[in-house]
Amino acid sequence: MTARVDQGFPASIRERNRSDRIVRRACAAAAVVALAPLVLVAVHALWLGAPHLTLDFFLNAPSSDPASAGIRPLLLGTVWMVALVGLVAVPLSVGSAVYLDAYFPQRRLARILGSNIGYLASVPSVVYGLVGLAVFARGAAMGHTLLAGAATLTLLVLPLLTRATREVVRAVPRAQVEAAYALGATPFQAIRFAVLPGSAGQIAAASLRALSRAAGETAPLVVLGAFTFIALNVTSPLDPLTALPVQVFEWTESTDARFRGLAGAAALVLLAGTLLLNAGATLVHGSSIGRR
Amino acid sequence: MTDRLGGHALRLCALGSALATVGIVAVLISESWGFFAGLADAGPAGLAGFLRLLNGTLLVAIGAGVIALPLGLGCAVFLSEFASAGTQRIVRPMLEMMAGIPTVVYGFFAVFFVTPLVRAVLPGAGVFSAASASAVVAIMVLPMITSMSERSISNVNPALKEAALGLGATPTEASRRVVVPAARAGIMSSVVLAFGRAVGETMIVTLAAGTTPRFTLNPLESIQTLTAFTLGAGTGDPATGSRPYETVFAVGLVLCAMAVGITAIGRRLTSGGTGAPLTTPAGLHPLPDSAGSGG
Repeated sequence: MTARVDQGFPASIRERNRSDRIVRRACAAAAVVALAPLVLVAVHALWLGAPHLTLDFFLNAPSSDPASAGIRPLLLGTVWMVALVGLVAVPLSVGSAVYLDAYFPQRRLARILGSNIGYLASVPSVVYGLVGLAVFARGAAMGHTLLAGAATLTLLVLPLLTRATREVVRAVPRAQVEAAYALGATPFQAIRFAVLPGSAGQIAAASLRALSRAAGETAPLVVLGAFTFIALNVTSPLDPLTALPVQVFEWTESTDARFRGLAGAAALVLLAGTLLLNAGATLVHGSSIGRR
Repeated sequence: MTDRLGGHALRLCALGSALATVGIVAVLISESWGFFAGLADAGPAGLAGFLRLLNGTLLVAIGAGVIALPLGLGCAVFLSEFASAGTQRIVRPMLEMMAGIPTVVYGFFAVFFVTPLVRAVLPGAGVFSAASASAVVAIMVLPMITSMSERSISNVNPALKEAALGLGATPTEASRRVVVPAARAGIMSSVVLAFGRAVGETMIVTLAAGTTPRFTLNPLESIQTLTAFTLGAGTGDPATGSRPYETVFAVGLVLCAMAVGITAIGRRLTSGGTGAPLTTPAGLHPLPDSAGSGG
Protein backbone atom coordinates (compact mmCIF):
# COMPACT_ATOMS: atom_id res chain seq x y z
CA MET A 1 0.00 0.00 0.00
CA THR A 2 2.64 2.53 1.04
CA ALA A 3 4.79 1.53 -1.91
CA ARG A 4 1.94 2.23 -4.30
CA VAL A 5 1.21 5.62 -2.80
CA ASP A 6 4.89 6.60 -2.78
CA GLN A 7 5.20 5.76 -6.44
CA GLY A 8 2.28 7.98 -7.35
CA PHE A 9 3.64 11.24 -5.94
CA PRO A 10 6.34 13.36 -7.57
CA ALA A 11 9.47 13.69 -5.43
CA SER A 12 9.77 17.42 -4.94
CA ILE A 13 7.19 19.58 -3.18
CA ARG A 14 7.70 22.27 -5.79
CA GLU A 15 6.66 19.92 -8.53
CA ARG A 16 3.66 18.83 -6.47
CA ASN A 17 2.60 22.42 -5.89
CA ARG A 18 2.86 23.07 -9.58
CA SER A 19 0.66 20.13 -10.47
CA ASP A 20 -1.68 21.34 -7.73
CA ARG A 21 -2.08 24.65 -9.57
CA ILE A 22 -2.52 22.90 -12.93
CA VAL A 23 -5.33 20.69 -11.63
CA ARG A 24 -7.07 23.66 -10.04
CA ARG A 25 -6.89 25.62 -13.27
CA ALA A 26 -8.07 22.65 -15.34
CA CYS A 27 -11.12 22.26 -13.11
CA ALA A 28 -11.89 25.98 -13.26
CA ALA A 29 -11.48 25.86 -17.04
CA ALA A 30 -13.88 22.91 -17.24
CA ALA A 31 -16.41 24.93 -15.26
CA VAL A 32 -16.04 27.91 -17.61
CA VAL A 33 -16.39 25.71 -20.71
CA ALA A 34 -19.39 23.94 -19.17
CA LEU A 35 -21.19 27.22 -18.42
CA ALA A 36 -20.26 29.08 -21.60
CA PRO A 37 -23.08 27.46 -23.65
CA LEU A 38 -25.70 29.14 -21.44
CA VAL A 39 -24.43 32.57 -22.51
CA LEU A 40 -23.82 31.43 -26.10
CA VAL A 41 -27.34 30.02 -26.53
CA ALA A 42 -28.93 33.22 -25.26
CA VAL A 43 -26.69 35.61 -27.19
CA HIS A 44 -27.00 33.57 -30.39
CA ALA A 45 -30.81 33.54 -30.22
CA LEU A 46 -30.80 37.29 -29.49
CA TRP A 47 -28.42 37.93 -32.39
CA LEU A 48 -30.58 36.11 -34.93
CA GLY A 49 -34.01 36.76 -33.45
CA ALA A 50 -34.00 40.25 -31.95
CA PRO A 51 -34.50 42.10 -35.29
CA HIS A 52 -37.73 40.13 -35.80
CA LEU A 53 -39.20 40.82 -32.38
CA THR A 54 -41.77 43.38 -33.46
CA LEU A 55 -45.27 43.90 -32.15
CA ASP A 56 -46.61 42.34 -35.36
CA PHE A 57 -44.61 39.19 -34.61
CA PHE A 58 -46.68 38.68 -31.47
CA LEU A 59 -50.00 39.64 -33.09
CA ASN A 60 -49.81 37.83 -36.45
CA ALA A 61 -50.44 34.19 -37.24
CA PRO A 62 -47.78 31.95 -38.78
CA SER A 63 -47.74 32.09 -42.54
CA SER A 64 -45.72 30.87 -45.49
CA ASP A 65 -44.68 34.48 -46.05
CA PRO A 66 -41.83 35.21 -43.60
CA ALA A 67 -42.45 38.96 -43.75
CA SER A 68 -45.88 38.75 -42.13
CA ALA A 69 -45.49 35.56 -40.05
CA GLY A 70 -46.12 35.75 -36.31
CA ILE A 71 -46.72 33.58 -33.29
CA ARG A 72 -50.05 34.63 -31.76
CA PRO A 73 -51.94 31.29 -32.02
CA LEU A 74 -48.79 29.36 -31.06
CA LEU A 75 -48.36 31.42 -27.94
CA LEU A 76 -52.04 31.03 -27.05
CA GLY A 77 -51.83 27.27 -27.63
CA THR A 78 -48.85 26.96 -25.31
CA VAL A 79 -50.47 29.12 -22.63
CA TRP A 80 -53.69 27.04 -22.76
CA MET A 81 -51.81 23.78 -22.41
CA VAL A 82 -49.54 25.01 -19.62
CA ALA A 83 -52.59 26.26 -17.71
CA LEU A 84 -54.41 22.93 -18.12
CA VAL A 85 -51.33 20.97 -17.09
CA GLY A 86 -51.00 23.16 -14.00
CA LEU A 87 -54.65 22.64 -13.06
CA VAL A 88 -54.46 18.84 -13.27
CA ALA A 89 -50.84 17.88 -12.62
CA VAL A 90 -50.20 19.98 -9.51
CA PRO A 91 -53.05 18.64 -7.34
CA LEU A 92 -52.47 15.06 -8.55
CA SER A 93 -48.73 15.19 -7.83
CA VAL A 94 -49.14 16.79 -4.43
CA GLY A 95 -51.83 14.24 -3.64
CA SER A 96 -49.73 11.23 -4.49
CA ALA A 97 -46.60 12.68 -2.86
CA VAL A 98 -48.51 13.30 0.36
CA TYR A 99 -50.05 9.84 0.21
CA LEU A 100 -46.70 8.15 -0.36
CA ASP A 101 -44.65 10.06 2.20
CA ALA A 102 -46.84 11.66 4.83
CA TYR A 103 -49.94 9.51 4.98
CA PHE A 104 -48.48 6.00 5.12
CA PRO A 105 -44.75 6.57 4.83
CA GLN A 106 -43.69 3.04 5.75
CA ARG A 107 -46.01 1.11 3.48
CA ARG A 108 -44.57 -1.31 0.96
CA LEU A 109 -46.99 0.01 -1.63
CA ALA A 110 -45.39 3.43 -1.22
CA ARG A 111 -41.96 1.98 -1.89
CA ILE A 112 -43.07 0.15 -5.02
CA LEU A 113 -44.99 3.14 -6.36
CA GLY A 114 -42.04 5.39 -5.60
CA SER A 115 -39.61 3.37 -7.64
CA ASN A 116 -42.26 3.19 -10.35
CA ILE A 117 -42.39 6.97 -10.52
CA GLY A 118 -38.61 7.12 -10.89
CA TYR A 119 -38.73 4.84 -13.92
CA LEU A 120 -41.65 6.75 -15.43
CA ALA A 121 -39.58 9.93 -15.16
CA SER A 122 -36.83 8.33 -17.24
CA VAL A 123 -39.08 7.40 -20.18
CA PRO A 124 -38.17 9.59 -23.19
CA SER A 125 -40.69 12.35 -23.86
CA VAL A 126 -41.19 11.24 -27.45
CA VAL A 127 -42.60 7.95 -26.12
CA TYR A 128 -45.19 9.92 -24.14
CA GLY A 129 -46.17 11.41 -27.48
CA LEU A 130 -46.86 7.91 -28.84
CA VAL A 131 -48.94 7.04 -25.80
CA GLY A 132 -50.84 10.30 -26.15
CA LEU A 133 -51.47 9.57 -29.83
CA ALA A 134 -52.87 6.10 -29.12
CA VAL A 135 -54.79 6.91 -25.92
CA PHE A 136 -55.90 10.54 -26.04
CA ALA A 137 -55.92 11.57 -29.71
CA ARG A 138 -57.34 8.30 -31.07
CA GLY A 139 -58.55 6.15 -28.16
CA ALA A 140 -60.44 8.94 -26.41
CA ALA A 141 -61.21 10.61 -29.75
CA MET A 142 -59.82 13.96 -28.68
CA GLY A 143 -58.17 14.28 -32.09
CA HIS A 144 -55.40 16.77 -32.75
CA THR A 145 -56.59 19.25 -30.13
CA LEU A 146 -54.98 21.31 -27.39
CA LEU A 147 -56.81 19.08 -24.92
CA ALA A 148 -55.01 15.98 -26.23
CA GLY A 149 -51.74 17.91 -26.05
CA ALA A 150 -52.40 19.02 -22.48
CA ALA A 151 -53.36 15.48 -21.42
CA THR A 152 -50.14 14.11 -22.90
CA LEU A 153 -48.01 16.80 -21.26
CA THR A 154 -49.76 16.12 -17.94
CA LEU A 155 -48.84 12.45 -18.20
CA LEU A 156 -45.25 13.48 -18.91
CA VAL A 157 -44.94 16.01 -16.11
CA LEU A 158 -46.69 13.95 -13.40
CA PRO A 159 -43.78 11.63 -12.49
CA LEU A 160 -41.28 14.51 -12.50
CA LEU A 161 -43.45 16.68 -10.29
CA THR A 162 -44.45 13.82 -8.00
CA ARG A 163 -40.81 12.94 -7.44
CA ALA A 164 -39.86 16.54 -6.71
CA THR A 165 -42.84 17.00 -4.37
CA ARG A 166 -42.02 13.76 -2.56
CA GLU A 167 -38.56 15.06 -1.75
CA VAL A 168 -40.10 18.21 -0.29
CA VAL A 169 -42.69 16.32 1.76
CA ARG A 170 -40.08 13.85 3.00
CA ALA A 171 -37.95 16.75 4.30
CA VAL A 172 -40.73 17.76 6.74
CA PRO A 173 -39.52 16.56 10.16
CA ARG A 174 -41.39 13.43 11.19
CA ALA A 175 -41.65 14.81 14.72
CA GLN A 176 -43.72 17.71 13.45
CA VAL A 177 -46.31 15.30 12.05
CA GLU A 178 -46.25 13.17 15.21
CA ALA A 179 -46.77 16.32 17.28
CA ALA A 180 -49.91 17.08 15.28
CA TYR A 181 -51.18 13.54 15.95
CA ALA A 182 -50.39 13.97 19.64
CA LEU A 183 -52.56 17.07 19.68
CA GLY A 184 -55.41 14.94 18.37
CA ALA A 185 -55.22 15.73 14.68
CA THR A 186 -56.63 13.25 12.18
CA PRO A 187 -54.23 12.13 9.42
CA PHE A 188 -55.82 14.56 7.01
CA GLN A 189 -55.55 17.43 9.48
CA ALA A 190 -51.92 16.52 10.16
CA ILE A 191 -51.20 16.83 6.45
CA ARG A 192 -53.23 19.98 6.07
CA PHE A 193 -51.73 21.80 9.08
CA ALA A 194 -48.36 20.15 9.79
CA VAL A 195 -47.03 19.07 6.41
CA LEU A 196 -48.34 21.39 3.71
CA PRO A 197 -47.84 24.88 5.23
CA GLY A 198 -44.09 24.45 5.65
CA SER A 199 -43.53 22.91 2.24
CA ALA A 200 -45.91 25.08 0.20
CA GLY A 201 -43.14 27.34 -1.11
CA GLN A 202 -41.02 24.48 -2.32
CA ILE A 203 -44.00 22.69 -3.84
CA ALA A 204 -44.87 25.90 -5.72
CA ALA A 205 -41.27 26.10 -6.94
CA ALA A 206 -41.31 22.49 -8.14
CA SER A 207 -44.64 23.13 -9.88
CA LEU A 208 -43.30 26.18 -11.70
CA ARG A 209 -40.30 24.15 -12.89
CA ALA A 210 -42.61 21.40 -14.12
CA LEU A 211 -44.74 23.96 -16.00
CA SER A 212 -41.59 25.39 -17.56
CA ARG A 213 -40.79 21.88 -18.72
CA ALA A 214 -44.28 21.46 -20.16
CA ALA A 215 -44.02 24.79 -22.00
CA GLY A 216 -40.78 23.75 -23.71
CA GLU A 217 -41.67 20.17 -24.63
CA THR A 218 -41.68 19.64 -28.38
CA ALA A 219 -41.30 15.99 -29.34
CA PRO A 220 -44.59 14.67 -27.86
CA LEU A 221 -46.56 17.45 -29.57
CA VAL A 222 -44.90 16.76 -32.93
CA VAL A 223 -45.82 13.08 -32.55
CA LEU A 224 -49.40 14.09 -31.72
CA GLY A 225 -49.51 15.91 -35.05
CA ALA A 226 -49.38 19.56 -33.98
CA PHE A 227 -50.32 22.12 -36.64
CA THR A 228 -47.89 24.80 -37.74
CA PHE A 229 -47.50 27.23 -40.64
CA ILE A 230 -51.24 27.90 -40.72
CA ALA A 231 -53.44 30.61 -39.27
CA LEU A 232 -55.55 29.18 -36.46
CA ASN A 233 -58.02 30.73 -34.13
CA VAL A 234 -57.26 29.56 -30.61
CA THR A 235 -60.04 30.26 -28.15
CA SER A 236 -60.70 26.96 -26.33
CA PRO A 237 -58.93 23.70 -25.44
CA LEU A 238 -60.87 21.95 -28.21
CA ASP A 239 -59.15 24.05 -30.87
CA PRO A 240 -56.47 22.45 -33.06
CA LEU A 241 -53.19 21.54 -31.38
CA THR A 242 -50.53 24.16 -31.95
CA ALA A 243 -47.62 25.30 -29.79
CA LEU A 244 -44.66 27.63 -29.88
CA PRO A 245 -41.88 25.00 -29.51
CA VAL A 246 -43.24 23.00 -32.44
CA GLN A 247 -43.04 26.10 -34.64
CA VAL A 248 -39.45 26.70 -33.48
CA PHE A 249 -38.73 23.17 -34.70
CA GLU A 250 -40.46 23.66 -38.04
CA TRP A 251 -38.84 27.02 -38.73
CA THR A 252 -35.40 25.68 -37.77
CA GLU A 253 -35.90 22.66 -40.00
CA SER A 254 -37.10 24.78 -42.92
CA THR A 255 -34.75 24.91 -45.89
CA ASP A 256 -35.95 28.45 -46.62
CA ALA A 257 -33.23 30.66 -45.07
CA ARG A 258 -35.71 33.53 -44.64
CA PHE A 259 -37.29 31.64 -41.73
CA ARG A 260 -34.01 31.57 -39.78
CA GLY A 261 -34.62 34.93 -38.11
CA LEU A 262 -38.19 33.93 -37.24
CA ALA A 263 -36.89 30.70 -35.70
CA GLY A 264 -34.49 32.81 -33.64
CA ALA A 265 -37.22 35.18 -32.50
CA ALA A 266 -39.57 32.30 -31.57
CA ALA A 267 -36.73 30.48 -29.78
CA LEU A 268 -36.01 33.69 -27.89
CA VAL A 269 -39.63 34.03 -26.76
CA LEU A 270 -39.71 30.37 -25.69
CA LEU A 271 -36.39 30.72 -23.87
CA ALA A 272 -37.58 33.86 -22.08
CA GLY A 273 -40.84 32.18 -21.05
CA THR A 274 -39.26 29.01 -19.69
CA LEU A 275 -36.44 30.88 -17.93
CA LEU A 276 -38.98 33.25 -16.36
CA LEU A 277 -40.94 30.30 -14.95
CA ASN A 278 -37.69 28.83 -13.62
CA ALA A 279 -36.63 32.17 -12.18
CA GLY A 280 -40.04 32.41 -10.51
CA ALA A 281 -39.38 29.00 -8.99
CA THR A 282 -36.01 30.13 -7.63
CA LEU A 283 -37.62 33.27 -6.22
CA VAL A 284 -40.44 31.42 -4.46
CA HIS A 285 -38.10 28.75 -3.21
CA GLY A 286 -35.60 31.31 -1.94
CA SER A 287 -38.22 33.33 -0.09
CA SER A 288 -39.74 30.27 1.55
CA ILE A 289 -36.33 29.33 2.93
CA GLY A 290 -35.78 32.88 4.15
CA ARG A 291 -39.00 32.79 6.13
CA ARG A 292 -38.05 29.74 8.16
CA MET B 1 -65.77 12.08 7.20
CA THR B 2 -63.52 14.60 5.46
CA ASP B 3 -60.71 12.45 6.67
CA ARG B 4 -61.90 9.30 4.98
CA LEU B 5 -62.69 11.19 1.77
CA GLY B 6 -59.27 12.82 1.86
CA GLY B 7 -57.58 9.48 2.34
CA HIS B 8 -59.41 7.98 -0.60
CA ALA B 9 -58.58 10.98 -2.80
CA LEU B 10 -54.91 10.71 -1.93
CA ARG B 11 -54.88 6.97 -2.58
CA LEU B 12 -56.47 7.58 -5.98
CA CYS B 13 -53.71 10.05 -6.85
CA ALA B 14 -51.00 7.56 -5.96
CA LEU B 15 -52.69 4.67 -7.72
CA GLY B 16 -53.02 6.91 -10.78
CA SER B 17 -49.28 6.82 -11.24
CA ALA B 18 -49.19 3.04 -10.94
CA LEU B 19 -51.96 2.90 -13.52
CA ALA B 20 -49.95 5.20 -15.80
CA THR B 21 -46.96 2.85 -15.77
CA VAL B 22 -49.05 -0.19 -16.57
CA GLY B 23 -50.97 1.82 -19.16
CA ILE B 24 -47.88 3.09 -20.97
CA VAL B 25 -46.37 -0.37 -21.27
CA ALA B 26 -49.70 -1.90 -22.27
CA VAL B 27 -50.31 0.70 -24.98
CA LEU B 28 -46.82 0.34 -26.43
CA ILE B 29 -47.07 -3.44 -26.51
CA SER B 30 -50.58 -3.64 -27.91
CA GLU B 31 -49.95 -1.05 -30.64
CA SER B 32 -46.68 -2.62 -31.74
CA TRP B 33 -47.84 -6.24 -31.48
CA GLY B 34 -48.43 -6.48 -35.21
CA PHE B 35 -44.88 -5.38 -35.94
CA PHE B 36 -43.31 -8.12 -33.86
CA ALA B 37 -45.77 -10.66 -35.18
CA GLY B 38 -44.84 -9.67 -38.73
CA LEU B 39 -41.12 -9.62 -38.01
CA ALA B 40 -40.84 -13.32 -38.87
CA ASP B 41 -42.14 -12.62 -42.38
CA ALA B 42 -40.04 -9.50 -42.93
CA GLY B 43 -36.91 -11.40 -41.94
CA PRO B 44 -33.54 -9.70 -41.46
CA ALA B 45 -34.54 -6.65 -43.51
CA GLY B 46 -36.78 -5.33 -40.75
CA LEU B 47 -34.10 -5.96 -38.17
CA ALA B 48 -31.42 -4.20 -40.24
CA GLY B 49 -33.51 -1.04 -40.30
CA PHE B 50 -33.78 -1.15 -36.54
CA LEU B 51 -30.03 -1.76 -36.11
CA ARG B 52 -29.24 1.29 -38.25
CA LEU B 53 -31.29 3.44 -35.89
CA LEU B 54 -29.61 1.84 -32.87
CA ASN B 55 -26.23 2.59 -34.44
CA GLY B 56 -27.20 6.27 -34.77
CA THR B 57 -28.50 6.49 -31.21
CA LEU B 58 -25.39 4.89 -29.70
CA LEU B 59 -23.02 6.98 -31.85
CA VAL B 60 -24.58 10.24 -30.65
CA ALA B 61 -25.04 9.17 -27.01
CA ILE B 62 -21.53 7.76 -26.58
CA GLY B 63 -20.06 10.85 -28.28
CA ALA B 64 -22.03 13.07 -25.90
CA GLY B 65 -20.81 11.05 -22.92
CA VAL B 66 -17.17 11.32 -24.02
CA ILE B 67 -17.49 15.11 -24.26
CA ALA B 68 -19.61 15.64 -21.16
CA LEU B 69 -17.82 13.37 -18.65
CA PRO B 70 -14.50 15.28 -18.31
CA LEU B 71 -16.22 18.68 -18.40
CA GLY B 72 -18.93 17.70 -15.94
CA LEU B 73 -16.52 16.01 -13.55
CA GLY B 74 -14.09 18.95 -13.73
CA CYS B 75 -16.93 21.36 -13.07
CA ALA B 76 -18.20 19.23 -10.16
CA VAL B 77 -14.74 19.01 -8.55
CA PHE B 78 -14.28 22.74 -9.04
CA LEU B 79 -17.64 23.49 -7.39
CA SER B 80 -17.32 21.16 -4.42
CA GLU B 81 -13.57 21.43 -3.74
CA PHE B 82 -12.12 24.71 -4.98
CA ALA B 83 -14.86 27.27 -5.61
CA SER B 84 -15.51 29.99 -3.03
CA ALA B 85 -19.01 30.34 -1.60
CA GLY B 86 -19.51 33.42 -3.79
CA THR B 87 -18.60 31.56 -6.96
CA GLN B 88 -20.90 28.71 -6.00
CA ARG B 89 -23.77 31.15 -5.59
CA ILE B 90 -23.26 32.25 -9.21
CA VAL B 91 -22.51 28.87 -10.79
CA ARG B 92 -25.37 26.83 -9.24
CA PRO B 93 -28.21 29.01 -10.58
CA MET B 94 -26.48 29.09 -13.96
CA LEU B 95 -26.46 25.29 -14.06
CA GLU B 96 -30.09 25.31 -13.02
CA MET B 97 -30.93 27.70 -15.86
CA MET B 98 -29.08 25.46 -18.33
CA ALA B 99 -31.13 22.50 -17.18
CA GLY B 100 -34.28 24.51 -17.89
CA ILE B 101 -33.54 25.40 -21.52
CA PRO B 102 -36.02 23.65 -23.86
CA THR B 103 -34.28 21.07 -26.03
CA VAL B 104 -35.74 22.57 -29.21
CA VAL B 105 -33.86 25.79 -28.40
CA TYR B 106 -30.70 23.71 -28.05
CA GLY B 107 -31.61 22.20 -31.43
CA PHE B 108 -31.86 25.67 -32.98
CA PHE B 109 -28.47 26.48 -31.43
CA ALA B 110 -27.04 23.25 -32.86
CA VAL B 111 -28.21 23.95 -36.41
CA PHE B 112 -27.18 27.59 -36.71
CA PHE B 113 -24.18 27.81 -34.37
CA VAL B 114 -22.56 24.46 -33.58
CA THR B 115 -22.91 22.83 -37.01
CA PRO B 116 -21.22 25.74 -38.87
CA LEU B 117 -18.50 25.67 -36.19
CA VAL B 118 -18.02 21.90 -36.56
CA ARG B 119 -17.88 22.25 -40.34
CA ALA B 120 -15.29 25.02 -40.09
CA VAL B 121 -13.05 22.93 -37.82
CA LEU B 122 -13.67 19.55 -39.50
CA PRO B 123 -14.13 20.19 -43.22
CA GLY B 124 -15.41 16.65 -43.80
CA ALA B 125 -18.58 17.24 -41.75
CA GLY B 126 -21.90 17.46 -43.55
CA VAL B 127 -24.87 19.79 -43.02
CA PHE B 128 -26.16 17.12 -40.65
CA SER B 129 -23.61 15.33 -38.49
CA ALA B 130 -23.61 13.08 -35.47
CA ALA B 131 -20.68 15.14 -34.11
CA SER B 132 -22.74 18.33 -33.93
CA ALA B 133 -25.59 16.45 -32.25
CA SER B 134 -23.17 14.85 -29.74
CA ALA B 135 -21.68 18.22 -28.82
CA VAL B 136 -25.06 19.81 -28.10
CA VAL B 137 -26.48 16.75 -26.33
CA ALA B 138 -23.33 16.91 -24.17
CA ILE B 139 -24.20 20.52 -23.31
CA MET B 140 -27.72 19.42 -22.42
CA VAL B 141 -26.62 16.63 -20.02
CA LEU B 142 -23.79 18.64 -18.43
CA PRO B 143 -25.90 20.22 -15.66
CA MET B 144 -27.16 16.77 -14.71
CA ILE B 145 -23.69 15.15 -14.53
CA THR B 146 -22.32 18.17 -12.69
CA SER B 147 -25.03 18.42 -10.07
CA MET B 148 -25.19 14.69 -9.33
CA SER B 149 -21.39 14.29 -9.24
CA GLU B 150 -21.03 17.36 -7.06
CA ARG B 151 -23.62 15.96 -4.71
CA SER B 152 -21.77 12.67 -4.28
CA ILE B 153 -18.38 14.43 -3.93
CA SER B 154 -19.80 16.72 -1.23
CA ASN B 155 -21.21 13.70 0.55
CA VAL B 156 -17.80 12.11 1.03
CA ASN B 157 -16.88 12.07 4.70
CA PRO B 158 -14.67 15.16 5.25
CA ALA B 159 -12.51 13.11 7.65
CA LEU B 160 -11.12 11.24 4.63
CA LYS B 161 -9.91 14.44 3.05
CA GLU B 162 -8.55 15.78 6.33
CA ALA B 163 -6.65 12.55 6.85
CA ALA B 164 -5.06 12.89 3.40
CA LEU B 165 -4.14 16.52 4.10
CA GLY B 166 -2.76 15.47 7.47
CA LEU B 167 -0.53 12.93 5.74
CA GLY B 168 0.94 15.74 3.68
CA ALA B 169 -1.12 15.61 0.49
CA THR B 170 -1.66 18.89 -1.34
CA PRO B 171 -5.35 19.93 -1.67
CA THR B 172 -5.71 18.69 -5.24
CA GLU B 173 -3.86 15.48 -4.43
CA ALA B 174 -6.39 14.88 -1.68
CA SER B 175 -9.26 15.59 -4.10
CA ARG B 176 -7.89 13.53 -6.92
CA ARG B 177 -6.66 10.52 -4.97
CA VAL B 178 -9.03 10.36 -2.02
CA VAL B 179 -12.24 12.35 -2.42
CA VAL B 180 -13.07 11.68 -6.09
CA PRO B 181 -12.32 7.93 -5.87
CA ALA B 182 -14.55 7.74 -2.79
CA ALA B 183 -17.36 9.36 -4.78
CA ARG B 184 -16.76 7.05 -7.75
CA ALA B 185 -20.08 5.24 -7.54
CA GLY B 186 -22.11 8.43 -7.58
CA ILE B 187 -20.10 9.87 -10.45
CA MET B 188 -20.49 6.69 -12.51
CA SER B 189 -24.19 6.69 -11.77
CA SER B 190 -24.55 10.31 -12.97
CA VAL B 191 -22.81 9.40 -16.24
CA VAL B 192 -25.01 6.34 -16.78
CA LEU B 193 -28.19 8.34 -16.13
CA ALA B 194 -26.95 11.12 -18.42
CA PHE B 195 -26.34 8.49 -21.08
CA GLY B 196 -29.95 7.38 -20.67
CA ARG B 197 -31.10 10.93 -21.21
CA ALA B 198 -28.93 11.24 -24.31
CA VAL B 199 -30.51 8.06 -25.71
CA GLY B 200 -33.98 9.55 -25.26
CA GLU B 201 -33.14 13.04 -26.54
CA THR B 202 -35.15 13.82 -29.65
CA MET B 203 -35.19 17.41 -30.88
CA ILE B 204 -31.43 18.09 -30.83
CA VAL B 205 -30.57 14.87 -32.66
CA THR B 206 -33.34 15.27 -35.25
CA LEU B 207 -32.32 18.84 -36.08
CA ALA B 208 -28.53 18.37 -35.92
CA ALA B 209 -27.93 14.78 -37.03
CA GLY B 210 -30.67 14.52 -39.63
CA THR B 211 -32.81 11.59 -40.70
CA THR B 212 -30.52 9.33 -42.73
CA PRO B 213 -30.41 5.87 -41.13
CA ARG B 214 -27.07 4.16 -41.79
CA PHE B 215 -24.42 1.88 -40.36
CA THR B 216 -21.43 4.08 -39.57
CA LEU B 217 -18.89 4.93 -36.91
CA ASN B 218 -18.02 8.22 -38.61
CA PRO B 219 -19.40 11.11 -36.51
CA LEU B 220 -19.12 13.51 -39.45
CA GLU B 221 -21.98 11.78 -41.31
CA SER B 222 -25.69 12.26 -41.00
CA ILE B 223 -27.47 9.47 -39.11
CA GLN B 224 -30.94 8.78 -37.75
CA THR B 225 -31.64 7.85 -34.15
CA LEU B 226 -34.45 5.77 -32.67
CA THR B 227 -36.03 8.95 -31.29
CA ALA B 228 -35.78 10.84 -34.59
CA PHE B 229 -37.53 7.93 -36.30
CA THR B 230 -40.28 7.97 -33.69
CA LEU B 231 -40.79 11.70 -34.21
CA GLY B 232 -41.70 10.94 -37.81
CA ALA B 233 -44.94 9.36 -36.55
CA GLY B 234 -46.49 12.81 -36.26
CA THR B 235 -45.55 14.08 -39.67
CA GLY B 236 -46.81 11.02 -41.52
CA ASP B 237 -50.03 10.66 -39.50
CA PRO B 238 -50.17 6.89 -40.14
CA ALA B 239 -53.49 5.09 -39.72
CA THR B 240 -53.98 3.08 -36.53
CA GLY B 241 -52.91 -0.55 -37.08
CA SER B 242 -51.03 0.17 -40.30
CA ARG B 243 -47.50 -1.12 -40.77
CA PRO B 244 -45.74 2.30 -40.28
CA TYR B 245 -47.86 2.93 -37.18
CA GLU B 246 -46.91 -0.42 -35.62
CA THR B 247 -43.24 0.09 -36.51
CA VAL B 248 -43.12 3.44 -34.74
CA PHE B 249 -44.66 1.93 -31.61
CA ALA B 250 -42.19 -0.95 -31.73
CA VAL B 251 -39.31 1.56 -31.77
CA GLY B 252 -41.03 3.45 -28.93
CA LEU B 253 -41.23 0.24 -26.90
CA VAL B 254 -37.50 -0.39 -27.45
CA LEU B 255 -36.70 3.20 -26.40
CA CYS B 256 -38.80 2.78 -23.27
CA ALA B 257 -37.06 -0.50 -22.40
CA MET B 258 -33.62 1.05 -22.97
CA ALA B 259 -34.42 4.07 -20.78
CA VAL B 260 -35.73 1.91 -17.94
CA GLY B 261 -32.79 -0.51 -18.23
CA ILE B 262 -30.19 2.26 -18.17
CA THR B 263 -31.92 3.93 -15.21
CA ALA B 264 -31.92 0.62 -13.36
CA ILE B 265 -28.16 0.25 -13.93
CA GLY B 266 -27.56 3.83 -12.82
CA ARG B 267 -29.49 3.26 -9.62
CA ARG B 268 -27.80 -0.03 -8.85
CA LEU B 269 -24.41 1.67 -9.10
CA THR B 270 -25.22 3.96 -6.19
CA SER B 271 -27.02 1.46 -4.00
CA GLY B 272 -24.32 -1.23 -4.22
CA GLY B 273 -21.25 0.98 -4.65
CA THR B 274 -18.65 2.00 -2.12
CA GLY B 275 -19.30 5.72 -2.52
CA ALA B 276 -21.59 7.84 -0.42
CA PRO B 277 -25.29 7.45 -1.15
CA LEU B 278 -26.88 10.13 -3.28
CA THR B 279 -29.69 10.90 -0.89
CA THR B 280 -29.34 14.33 0.62
CA PRO B 281 -31.84 16.52 2.44
CA ALA B 282 -34.46 17.44 -0.12
CA GLY B 283 -34.67 20.85 -1.67
CA LEU B 284 -30.96 21.61 -1.48
CA HIS B 285 -30.40 20.40 -5.01
CA PRO B 286 -33.40 21.32 -7.11
CA LEU B 287 -31.76 20.17 -10.36
CA PRO B 288 -33.50 17.21 -11.96
CA ASP B 289 -31.29 14.14 -11.80
CA SER B 290 -32.62 11.50 -14.11
CA ALA B 291 -35.43 13.76 -15.26
CA GLY B 292 -37.05 12.23 -18.32
CA SER B 293 -35.29 12.71 -21.58
CA GLY B 294 -36.14 15.84 -23.39
CA GLY B 295 -37.77 16.65 -26.64
